[in-house]
Amino acid sequence: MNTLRKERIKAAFKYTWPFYIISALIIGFGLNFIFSITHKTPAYKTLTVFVSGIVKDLKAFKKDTLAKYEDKELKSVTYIEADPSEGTYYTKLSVAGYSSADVLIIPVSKLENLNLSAFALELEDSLINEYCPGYTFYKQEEINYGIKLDKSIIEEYVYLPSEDCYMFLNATSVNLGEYSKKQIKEHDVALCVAKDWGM
Amino acid sequence: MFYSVDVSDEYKKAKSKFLRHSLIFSLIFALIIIGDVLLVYFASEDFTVNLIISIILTIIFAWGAIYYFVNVYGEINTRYRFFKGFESGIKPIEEIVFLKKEDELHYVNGLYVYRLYVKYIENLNEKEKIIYTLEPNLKYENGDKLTITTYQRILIQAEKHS
Repeated sequence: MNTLRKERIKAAFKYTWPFYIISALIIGFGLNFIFSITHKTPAYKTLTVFVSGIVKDLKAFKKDTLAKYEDKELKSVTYIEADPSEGTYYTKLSVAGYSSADVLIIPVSKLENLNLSAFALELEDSLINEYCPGYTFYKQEEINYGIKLDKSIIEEYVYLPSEDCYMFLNATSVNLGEYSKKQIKEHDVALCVAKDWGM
Repeated sequence: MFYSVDVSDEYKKAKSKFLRHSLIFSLIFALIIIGDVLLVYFASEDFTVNLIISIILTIIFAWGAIYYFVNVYGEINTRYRFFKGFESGIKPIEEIVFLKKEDELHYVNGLYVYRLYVKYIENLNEKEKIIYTLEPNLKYENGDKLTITTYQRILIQAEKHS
């Protein structure tokens, strides 16, 4: 009986082996999906920076940024890089930058064609006084939107264009403290970045 | 010489085994689901370890389940269904002449059985056919005339004519 059973098991394996592979794949992807959904890092613990340039050392850039803002409960840093000389620059800016970045670094030559009120936070006087007093700003229709970037701070991580660059805070970000348009107002890491990287 | 399978006893055994296996499988399945839910629930933002444990556990269970359903549960279930359907099933009674019994085991309807070659008369013509028996030591010889009852071609009862 045992021999017959072994033969049956062998014969069955010939047509059931794909199920072993398929089940492993489904389980792997399925559980990974469930874990990712249930334990997704909240937006207020994530900082996303749109960088107009080429990142040299992404690992160090992320590590140093995380270490610097550890006290702000920051768990993850994401950089969206877009080379301003590429034809797809504006597409990347509008698709990835506007929708998900907290801070956007844009060279001055690219700002002429942009309607800043569509995505950037209007820098009120109280915000300027608290986070960036005496800094240089980029204005559009007499409203302050951009803060001049101190390129020396991030130059060791990123190849930036030779011209001046400005930082813009995304109006939809949840990391804007009391200036956020969302209900969460306790997290101001984007403002701290503007404060530290601006000049 | 009279041979008979105790169908009611075999049905009880098959049913009890079927229920036992179903219960054990359901319990293990429930444990795995509970384990996975707990691993998801108690995972931190860095959930890599929990994810790996959960994937390994679930894959082992899934592979075990495939093997079990194809090779073990299928056999138990078919055997149980076979005896369960016996009461209401068609059980032809025939007059046959016993020819021989093979010693090689075969798998039919969830049962491990031996082949029997028998001769019978249909429309005044002598014909041969194969039926099966559960009994390894069937004490009939070539040429014995028997009245048999079969169910799904498996010998349930046989009585030798004098």
